[in-house]
Amino acid sequence: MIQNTNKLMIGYFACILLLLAMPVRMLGAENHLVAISSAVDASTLLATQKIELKAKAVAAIQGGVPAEDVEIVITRALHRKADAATISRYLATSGAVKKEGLPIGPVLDRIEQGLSKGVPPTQVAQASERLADKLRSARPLIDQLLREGLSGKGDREEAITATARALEQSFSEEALIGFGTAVRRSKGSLQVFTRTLDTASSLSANGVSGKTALSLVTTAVERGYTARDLDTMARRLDAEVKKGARPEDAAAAIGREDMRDARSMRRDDMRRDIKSDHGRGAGSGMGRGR
Amino acid sequence: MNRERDIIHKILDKEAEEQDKRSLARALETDPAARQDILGITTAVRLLEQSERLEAPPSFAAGVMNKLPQARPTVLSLLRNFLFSSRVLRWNMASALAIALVSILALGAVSLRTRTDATIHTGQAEAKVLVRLTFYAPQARTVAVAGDFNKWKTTADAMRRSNGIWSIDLKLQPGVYTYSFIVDEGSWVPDPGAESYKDDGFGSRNAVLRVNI
Repeated sequence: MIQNTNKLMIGYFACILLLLAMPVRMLGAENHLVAISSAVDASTLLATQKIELKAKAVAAIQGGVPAEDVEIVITRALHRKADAATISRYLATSGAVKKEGLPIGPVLDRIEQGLSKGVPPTQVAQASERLADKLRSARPLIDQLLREGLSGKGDREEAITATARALEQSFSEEALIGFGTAVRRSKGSLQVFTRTLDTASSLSANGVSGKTALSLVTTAVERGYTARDLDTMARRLDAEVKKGARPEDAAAAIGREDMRDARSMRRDDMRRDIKSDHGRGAGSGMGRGR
Repeated sequence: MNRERDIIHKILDKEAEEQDKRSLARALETDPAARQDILGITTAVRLLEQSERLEAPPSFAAGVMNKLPQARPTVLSLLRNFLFSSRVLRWNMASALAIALVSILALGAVSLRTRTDATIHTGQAEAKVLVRLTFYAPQARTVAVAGDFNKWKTTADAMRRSNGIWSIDLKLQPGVYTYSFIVDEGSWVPDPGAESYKDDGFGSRNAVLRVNI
């Protein structure tokens, strides 16, 4: 009998330990689950669809999709009169991205943003699925660049996201690999790659072709532009476009100005070198006054 | 002979039927060895009935059981016994207090964990930077800002008007954000004064905001 009591005590302590070790994921999700349940119950979906949707919401949260986002997606989608199948697509896409270890933030952001902006629900689903596919394509590309020696300093997830967005804007994988190689040769890191690729995407969003945008940022990387320089470049282009210039022409003008600046810098450097050569010892290079 | 012995046992156990008894009587008439045999058995029974009966000590049965060879229990049977055998819980005040103490400590640990998370969030909140967004729209009735920092909630961050300029102060952690203004609860306008823009994935653009410490 005493032995049984001991076993019970051990069982009790084991339960307490299990409780402590339980993933915090589901703790604190109750409020969101209640809100999801209320929104689904208040919708015009069929009873079976309501049950299915609630189950899928719980599965998504258990799979690691943040409960707050699941609530926002479902309530906003129901507000936009999305059907059960489309809402399920949102949950399936975000759940799959999470399961595959890809950045889930951009996908949730796309769904939440699209629904908020009043984009038709099916288009939102297509856009989020497209982004998920691009994230899948972006990951091996980043891994390849890292394997080939690109410095890993920086956030890998941000790099994957920037690459996925660039792929969405019709930058080819080959062009991105080429750009990554240019970053590596210039001793740039993953952080530089991400930052400059973001700028290229911004330029592309302003109407500059992918080829010209990549060419501009590649030049910027090779010249060791800072983040501030990149911002200035994007701002200059935007200002030119606002003045009425064609994006491609504005980009070309910026490129020409940069080339001129670079030539002028090289000339200045050369003059400095020449001046400093005076007084150098024998065999010190290109001195002329000896 | 064996059959007659079986009948004798039945008779002693008071389980014999008339037919058995008649059969035994016939056998005894014809078989002297059987007669001898039953005489011996009945004598033994009579002697046993007449002998004094002694009570077995209480530990006798347990002692006998202990001396029997033990069968090795299988894992399955052990598990079955552990899960399904009925138990009687004996408790005392000391163990009850110990259980109560462990429960309190466990709840305290969970509560502490929640509070630690809150502390971390507060720490992050302390690192937030105040950012002012402005938008010139004298004709607008309402302007709000929505972006990834507020999960694109259209009513979370309404802007205030002063001389035709709408403005809002946001506390944001360092990072890169995308946002747009919502004019008169319907039109989405990327900030015309933004440093740069990003494609929103739906054929339009969002303004980009970089927050640095």
